[in-house]
Amino acid sequence: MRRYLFFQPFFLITSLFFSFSYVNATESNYLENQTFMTLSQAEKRWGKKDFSPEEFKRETANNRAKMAVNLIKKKQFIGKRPAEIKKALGEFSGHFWSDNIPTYLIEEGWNQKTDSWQLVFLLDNAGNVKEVRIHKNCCD
Amino acid sequence: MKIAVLIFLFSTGVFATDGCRLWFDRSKIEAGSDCLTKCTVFKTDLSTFSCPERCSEFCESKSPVSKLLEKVAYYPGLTLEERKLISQYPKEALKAFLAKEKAESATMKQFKRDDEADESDAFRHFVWAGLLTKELGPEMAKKFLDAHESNQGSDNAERAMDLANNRAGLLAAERLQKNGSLTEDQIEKEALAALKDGTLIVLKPKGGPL
Repeated sequence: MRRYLFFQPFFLITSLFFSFSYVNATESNYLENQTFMTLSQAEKRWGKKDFSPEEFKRETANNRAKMAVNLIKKKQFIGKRPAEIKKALGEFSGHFWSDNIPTYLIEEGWNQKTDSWQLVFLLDNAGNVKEVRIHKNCCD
Repeated sequence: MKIAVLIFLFSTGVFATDGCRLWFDRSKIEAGSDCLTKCTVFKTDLSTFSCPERCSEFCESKSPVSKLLEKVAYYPGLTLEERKLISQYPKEALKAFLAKEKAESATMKQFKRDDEADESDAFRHFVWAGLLTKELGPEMAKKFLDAHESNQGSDNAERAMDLANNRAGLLAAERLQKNGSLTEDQIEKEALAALKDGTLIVLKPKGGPL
């Protein structure tokens, strides 16, 4: 009986883990070849400032970087469509796969020949924002 | 009761995603001419009895081409037209998206950036169009280029810019083909020349290449 009770949550957790990991297999194959920055790395690089959509919309790339960590943590754009992102945060800049994927440059290093980074609003198969990540625009 | 709850949770967790896909993967049937036969007769149970109906889909998805496509194409970002082309012309689609990667790498090498509506964007579209023409011929190239721009949500001016720069790339590639000099290097040189002489449309100039 004790062994059975121990097995229950383990079985449940394992089955849910495998089901969700399979769903993401196709999408993540492409993403595996991209370079992303973690939130702790971002905080070390740019610091952390409260995110405000109005401020983000009017700021330059490098000032947007300070809001990146807070924007991602707030998760307020999860489930939104690209058109809603554009309305809230302004015209896209940067590039990830196509014009339909919302991206915003947050560090432009090209004229100093250093790295460039962007916020990418990754979509699910229904075309809604699934996750926001910090992606290396250039150069690997 | 606890067992019933577990079974229910397990079913919704696993089969709400794609239970048939999992059933096929567990079968360990490899791609090949006998994939369909093996798949159709593979054992099923109450929850997977209808899965053999999708064997042709699964056998195709196991092909080397499909596996490679998953690495070079960002599926959630594909337009409906691109998805149709992939299912109709999978091998051509693989070449198309490998050419896209080359165009993006060339762009980053020249401009140290990959942006929207600027010189790097114009260059990237021109080069991709040229490479597609080289790999697939002008007709198939245009199919993939138009499919990529078919998203209704994109800005009209930016879409017009992309279509114009695609066309410039297609025409340049056809000229190079007639001269017998359709190479990746020549396509890039033509793109840079077209940028310099103002042939390409650039909505938000930033400068470059570096």
